[in-house]
Amino acid sequence: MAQSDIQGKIDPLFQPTPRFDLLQAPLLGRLLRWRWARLVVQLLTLLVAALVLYDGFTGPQVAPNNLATVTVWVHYRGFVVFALLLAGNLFCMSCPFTLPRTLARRFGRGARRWPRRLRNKWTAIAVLLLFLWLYEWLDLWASPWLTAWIVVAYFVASFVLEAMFAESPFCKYVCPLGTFNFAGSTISPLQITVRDADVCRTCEGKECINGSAEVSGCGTELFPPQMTSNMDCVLCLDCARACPYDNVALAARSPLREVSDPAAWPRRWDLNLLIVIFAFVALSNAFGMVAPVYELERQMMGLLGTQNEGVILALLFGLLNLLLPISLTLGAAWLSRRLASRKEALRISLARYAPAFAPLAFAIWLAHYGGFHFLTSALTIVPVLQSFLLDHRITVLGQPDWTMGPIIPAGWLDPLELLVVLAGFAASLYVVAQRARRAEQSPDPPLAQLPWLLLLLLLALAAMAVLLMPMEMRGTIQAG
Amino acid sequence: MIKTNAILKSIVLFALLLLAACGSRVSQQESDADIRVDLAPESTVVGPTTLNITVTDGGGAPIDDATLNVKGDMSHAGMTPVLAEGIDGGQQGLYTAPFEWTMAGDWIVTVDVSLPDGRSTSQRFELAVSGDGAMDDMHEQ
Repeated sequence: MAQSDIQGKIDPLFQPTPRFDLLQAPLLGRLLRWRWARLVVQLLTLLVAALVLYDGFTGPQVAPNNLATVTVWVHYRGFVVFALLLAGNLFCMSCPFTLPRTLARRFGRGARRWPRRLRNKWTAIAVLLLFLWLYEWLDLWASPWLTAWIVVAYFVASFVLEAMFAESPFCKYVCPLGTFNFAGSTISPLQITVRDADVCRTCEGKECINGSAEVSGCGTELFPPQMTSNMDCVLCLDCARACPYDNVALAARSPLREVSDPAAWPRRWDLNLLIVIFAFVALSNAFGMVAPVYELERQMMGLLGTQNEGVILALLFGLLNLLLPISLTLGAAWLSRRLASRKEALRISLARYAPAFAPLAFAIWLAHYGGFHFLTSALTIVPVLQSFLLDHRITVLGQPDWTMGPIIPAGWLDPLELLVVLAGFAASLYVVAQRARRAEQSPDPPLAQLPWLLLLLLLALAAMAVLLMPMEMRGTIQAG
Repeated sequence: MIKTNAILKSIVLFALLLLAACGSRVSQQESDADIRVDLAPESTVVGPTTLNITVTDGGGAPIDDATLNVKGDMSHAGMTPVLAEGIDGGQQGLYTAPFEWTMAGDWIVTVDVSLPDGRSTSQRFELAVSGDGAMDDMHEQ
């Protein structure tokens, strides 16, 4: 039995008894623990994935009129951020890409372990950045056809890796959607834990992780009594179904508890930089939609003498998503360490405050995906579905009503986005203060927190400035 | 391995349903090659504008009795389209449609033309709309 890499060292088997356990709630709890619950939800999302593939490949190649692009780039992203905010990693729970896993394991060898040197978040960070670079370069949001191909790629990659390796390496070490969801779920209000740690101490089978005759154990090899984080948890609830003592809980928690707890995460470079990059990528992803980025691209093209947008975007990505976050946070860590007069590795100084980026990062994603894209476009799925059905001679929903779209008045959007970012910023400040107070040996003085506060302030101001700019939608016509 | 069998059966059933669905799509609207449509927006800057649409037959003769539907979509999924209402015309094949570019960025304007004799065509035009007054490109598809 292997303990999760993310959970780090083997902690004593102690967790406080959860105050509220969703798995014990009437009806819903029983439904969630039902053996086929995940399969049913996955089949529903598989149906959605199939529609995405079908309409993406055969439907109108105008993004706002196609189920593939509307479902993926509006509703999937909106669903993900609101689910993370209100519950947890519900997309990974219902992920259709892992459905073929059972088949893959049946046909493949599956017993090989994922290479030790790749058992970290570096690959996940690289794939996330690669995916976002492709998103910008190929204008994925504007192409139903490419969107469908992305879905095919997910199915293939998931199947191949599951067939070759044990430990769900696709989910844990590769999938960019999973990486996004893992990072976001660190501030979700639900977490897997156990009701009574003593039961786990005396449990011999450890079915939650090893599986039973009927139910698989945890795909990402997390051991519930030692879980201190949502990182790597796909919320499949197989642990709860496999536990012969009904001892696994899906407990409510303060959304800031995990990131405020210095012992919740191992102090690893990859994990902590993932959260920092998650924050800066949130900003650059929104920046990719406003006018100054196009001007910047034009200037860079002139300066470098190239018209290759892929190269220009790669340089911009390297600057905004790697160079800037890494240099700024290392600088803040170094300064903070000096101001606190600590003698420790820079990695330790970074890990003390890097989790504080999670609330602000999530707030920027929420404002962008949940606010701008979803709230202003949620109802566009209705005319697109009407149009899709008419294409198939199904008239039950009538003619498309193309006036449907936003679910909030347009004037609410800017204040709402600002409010969300400010709330995220305030939550990040709270986390900084908590982590300073609970620092090893002695609390960090306020001065040692200052570099981090300034960095968070800079990020929040930049996010507010970008979100207040008029968004532009470009993608079909090459600049020239 | 009850679960494996259940998944296998579900996926096979699902694939069959999908295959059945795939065969029944109505083909995209066919365009009559003898009808030509040209689009000239008065402005490609965010804000109200007028779209000047010219409809002619294969020989270049103006068509004045066509019914036009004009819809503007942005390149990004989820953006509410703009529908042109109160289209005037046609005089010497020229129709004018009040329109509004609601956002800067790439637009796809679809002009559906129906003639009383049953002929019809649909043309798509791609335009880049700016927010600062600079004129951008237009491409016909």
